[in-house]
Amino acid sequence: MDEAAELSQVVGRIQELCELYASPPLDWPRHLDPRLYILELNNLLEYDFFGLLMDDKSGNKMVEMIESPSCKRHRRGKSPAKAIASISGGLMDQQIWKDFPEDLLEAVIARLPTESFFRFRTVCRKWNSLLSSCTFSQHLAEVSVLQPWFYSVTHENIRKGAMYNPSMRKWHHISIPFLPAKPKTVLLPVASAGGLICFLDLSHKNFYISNPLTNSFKELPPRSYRVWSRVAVAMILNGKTAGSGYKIMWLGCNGDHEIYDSIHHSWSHSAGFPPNIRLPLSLNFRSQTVSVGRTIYFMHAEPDGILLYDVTTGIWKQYLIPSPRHLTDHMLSEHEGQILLVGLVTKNAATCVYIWEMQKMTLLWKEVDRMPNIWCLELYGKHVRMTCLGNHGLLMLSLRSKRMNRLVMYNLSTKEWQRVPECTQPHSRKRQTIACGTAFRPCPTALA
Amino acid sequence: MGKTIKLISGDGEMFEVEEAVAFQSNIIKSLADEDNADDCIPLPRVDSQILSKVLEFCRKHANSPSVHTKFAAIPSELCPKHDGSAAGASSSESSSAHSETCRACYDAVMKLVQWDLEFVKVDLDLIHHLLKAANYLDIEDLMFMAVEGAANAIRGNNPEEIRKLFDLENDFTPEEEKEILKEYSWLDDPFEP
Repeated sequence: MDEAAELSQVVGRIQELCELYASPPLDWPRHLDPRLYILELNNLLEYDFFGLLMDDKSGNKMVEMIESPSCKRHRRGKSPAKAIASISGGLMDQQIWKDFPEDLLEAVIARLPTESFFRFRTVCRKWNSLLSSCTFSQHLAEVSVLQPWFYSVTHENIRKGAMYNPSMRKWHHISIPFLPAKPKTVLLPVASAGGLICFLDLSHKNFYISNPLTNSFKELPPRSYRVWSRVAVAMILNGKTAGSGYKIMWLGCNGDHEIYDSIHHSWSHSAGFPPNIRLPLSLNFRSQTVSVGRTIYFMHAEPDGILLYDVTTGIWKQYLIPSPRHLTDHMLSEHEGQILLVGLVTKNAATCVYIWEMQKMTLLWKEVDRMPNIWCLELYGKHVRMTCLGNHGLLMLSLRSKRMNRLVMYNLSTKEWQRVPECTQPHSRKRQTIACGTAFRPCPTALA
Repeated sequence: MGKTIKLISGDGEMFEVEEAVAFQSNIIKSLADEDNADDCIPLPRVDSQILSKVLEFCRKHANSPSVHTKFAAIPSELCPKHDGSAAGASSSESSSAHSETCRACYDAVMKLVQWDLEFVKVDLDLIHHLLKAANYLDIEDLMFMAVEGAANAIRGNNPEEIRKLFDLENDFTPEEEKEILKEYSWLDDPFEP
């Protein structure tokens, strides 16, 4: 309880007593004299009422302020104690932030932009230790991050990461701290949840989990059995934050799948595939998986549709949804529980980016938005490939052709399209092109 | 105009506001509920300058859903579009649950949040007063926004300014500080300790 609250509690008690006794009786124990109480509290609070208190000859401060003009209005027959309470409230402000309650301070720090938080790590040990504080982690979880960051790997610098912060419109370049010593190892970000990113090496063998903002990383144990072909990877949190654990799931085209549980640090082999789902699957690897609640969504073709897996029940479901016509590169996305499709449509020589919403009742894609025409003109007549980073709320689209490289941001809430500044090599102007990537929630306290 | 409540600030100024405005504060609400002889509620710990700012906030929030309210839980009465009329599709919706996709509600809440963020774009002094007042009067939304405002006010500071503000000591050795700076050197921050 802060001192102001303590003060008012004591003062309230004194007032009760005063009201009880009208005026202090002669046999009132000396230590209950209201004025002395205030003096005692004055010492507790360790400050002077800035000149309103006078030293009497014995060195004790007398409560002079009762006569000061500013509080004459309060008197109205109320006890001096009450007057002091209100004035001290005003004077406490001289201290402003020095006695700021800890809980409130953590709530304020949790709302700082990521850059400011990292900058303030050097303020003092206590602030630096917030990185590993449970209570601070909870505060962070409660703050809704309006904009995720994007982590990508570029063709030009495949062993490093390029991170984009949409609110500052700034690119940052980081080294991957856990990159294995083997010279040819390339790690690709495949999924993310709770501020952590799941990396898979090119040979599809080893998984790594890392928080790109800190040095926290973990190599996952090898899978139960070897899979030599490409897999789709999903990541899902057990609770609200990475602290309550997470699951990683991989799915192969022949229906093989396994789930890693971070609590037990082990892979478990789920029950087989239901017979009504036709194998082999033609999984869309260009599309990231999407997790909504306890369900993971995988996209596939031949037949076109979506596979759903419920992590709690282990039940598989399949929606057969015909793809829109003339669709080329496409990927799944999600916004407020609604499944979306983002894709390139090329009709004759004209190419445009479209957004569709999945209609649950009819199992059809319904067009809801498309990229502004002026921007589509740039893509005219070119053979364009699209990579989509992020699949919740904010999408970063990389549109590339032989001589063109455009980065576009689409906000699923406001339906706004924005240009993204080019990613350039640090210390040079050389432009970099995005190979793949994922969005992630910047969470300094997430531990792999 | 509905029933009004009279509030007296710490420096003796009286404010008369509608019940809906004053009851944003749980403290005022509970004080008013008690059978008080006089209909004036004294607030000795809030002075008139701050109280008028607080009431400005409360007036804006009086007939709006709380920014905390989950979207789907906004009751239809508070939606600017569905103002009690049973026209069209809204007639089939129950009054207790509102459509998650109501664009009008979404826009209204977003607008309110924008207003709130502007409201708290003030200097640290005022933020501190607002925080204390919100805490004392138990106004959840103001508390929430004042914390945002505080974060916004200090985000541009450098570590030394933060130390001065919160009266903290730099208990790192120069080597330790260098280590930490190395850890987030990717930030490319122009700030130096």
